[in-house]
Amino acid sequence: MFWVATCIFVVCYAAIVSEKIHKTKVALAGAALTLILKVLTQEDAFHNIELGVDWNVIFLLISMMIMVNIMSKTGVFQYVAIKAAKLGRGNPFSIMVIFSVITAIASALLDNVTTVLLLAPVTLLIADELEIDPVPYLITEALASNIGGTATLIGDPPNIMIASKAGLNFMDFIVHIAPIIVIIMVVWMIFWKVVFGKRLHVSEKNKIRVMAMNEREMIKDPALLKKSGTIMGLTILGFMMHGFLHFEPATIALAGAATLLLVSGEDPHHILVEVEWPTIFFFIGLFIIIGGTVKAGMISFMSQQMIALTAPTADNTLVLSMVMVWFSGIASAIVDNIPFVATMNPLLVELAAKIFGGTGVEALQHAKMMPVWWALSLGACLGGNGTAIGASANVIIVGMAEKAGKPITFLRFMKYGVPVTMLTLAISTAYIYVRYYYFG
Amino acid sequence: MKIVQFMNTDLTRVRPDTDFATLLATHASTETRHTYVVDEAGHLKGVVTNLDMLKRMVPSYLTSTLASSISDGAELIRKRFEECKHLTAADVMQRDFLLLNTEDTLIEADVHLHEGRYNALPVVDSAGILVGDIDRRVILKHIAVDICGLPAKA
Repeated sequence: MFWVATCIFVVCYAAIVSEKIHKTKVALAGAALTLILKVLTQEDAFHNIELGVDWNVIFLLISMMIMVNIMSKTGVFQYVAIKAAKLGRGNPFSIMVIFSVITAIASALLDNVTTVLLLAPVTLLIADELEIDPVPYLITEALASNIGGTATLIGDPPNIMIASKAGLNFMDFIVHIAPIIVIIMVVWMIFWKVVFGKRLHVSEKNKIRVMAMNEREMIKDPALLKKSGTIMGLTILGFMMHGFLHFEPATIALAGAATLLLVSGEDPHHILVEVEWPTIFFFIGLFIIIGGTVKAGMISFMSQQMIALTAPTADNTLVLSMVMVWFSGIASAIVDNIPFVATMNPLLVELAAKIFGGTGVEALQHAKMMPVWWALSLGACLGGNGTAIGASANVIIVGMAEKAGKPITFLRFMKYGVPVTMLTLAISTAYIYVRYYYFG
Repeated sequence: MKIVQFMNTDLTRVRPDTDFATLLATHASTETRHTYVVDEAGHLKGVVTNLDMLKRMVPSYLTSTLASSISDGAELIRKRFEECKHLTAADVMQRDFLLLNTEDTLIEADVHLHEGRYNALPVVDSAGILVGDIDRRVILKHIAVDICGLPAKA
């Protein structure tokens, strides 16, 4: 079964990377083969927590998508964006910074794709009104959404997967990842000031056009905004307390989504149609394929190789953490970070079992294991900024720019993305070293 | 009943190299909702609708919500016009559209129009030469007067 599982894994991975066939089709076909060839039983795939579909991840994603779909109908994101542009008094660099911060915060709480889908049209309009090139703004927004999404458990799918596998809670991410994301944002904006500070100029006439925009027109349904804002706030509060309340994040999210569906008056048919089902089924297929590789021993073999390469011990995981940041970062710039993290998760579980003994929370959340999980999170999420295909938000931005007649070439995206990726991975490396190994 | 008997034959035709400004002026000054792009021999190459022209005059990213935030959009539209000036009818036209044949019947045309929510469909002869078009109003008029026997209004 080892070679059967390995073949399914390698062929599916190659097909996903090639992008010749839609990744959801590949993942579901791979999952079907895993079951038909009896690498996994159906019982394993649907009911085994170690080997099968991680329903915590699936229901967290579906519930957050439902909440975001309802909230996006209120116009609040466009309101905030226009208000922010006016706060920046039409100054092009101020607008770039404010939009980056808004995008990062929104992406930390919502999914990155929705954030850029809502904010990019406002960015294009403001760039049009200011008569400036929108491309630097659009790429900055994609980068900010990936950086901001790294900060929380719900901000980026890799974090949801890592949290579920390692048993981490919302506050773990706030305490361990959010601070470095704030530092990364500050350093990045200083770097961007050097790059763009003197290059962006607009006339006073164009600034006046931005100042004349009416943001109040954006709020189409104030009642829905109040309801969805309140429930989203309570849900985030629930995430913050889910460890204390002994609820899984998916339970909190499902409660929020169900409540919002009940009180919003929205037709569930319309809301559920807008859930990104291809992404959900991609996850389901992927979990089954990876479960097959775990059961067949491929992941165990890979973890032995990684141990041989990085020589971690129960007292020292420094090399493993350092390698994890850069390996995850570079891999995520080239391939989708979701299958990457889906593969790395069981590998790290195996690795923790070998180093610390056992497969329980003691091993997974051992003081020397925690920096490895953070390294994976930072590398996988921030690495997506490297290329135009490294993250879903990048793909959306490139598509929207092209549709608006401002095409972004692969190389032009890299011109912005690669330096930012290198900078953020370098800061992450220093952070992990200093916080967990130098002072830890 | 064949559509050739009651189709419109007074059509607005332009060549593929017609410039954008001329195309816009044509759409602004004629009653017809469609401009047909034909080659020298009269073969139909594409269709430009009023809606196609309206879409070209505003940025693709603009939603109705976002449009309501703009105090005066005239400058944006002027800018779009400048950006589109280099385009020709061949760049703007729809290339993928449904064709009716002179031998098609009224009931086929009716179903095609409502199935595809078209305002009008071009009619070509067996050689692919554009000979007319059928629109919703023409069909309704024909159904009301010639089939249902209702009095024609002036």
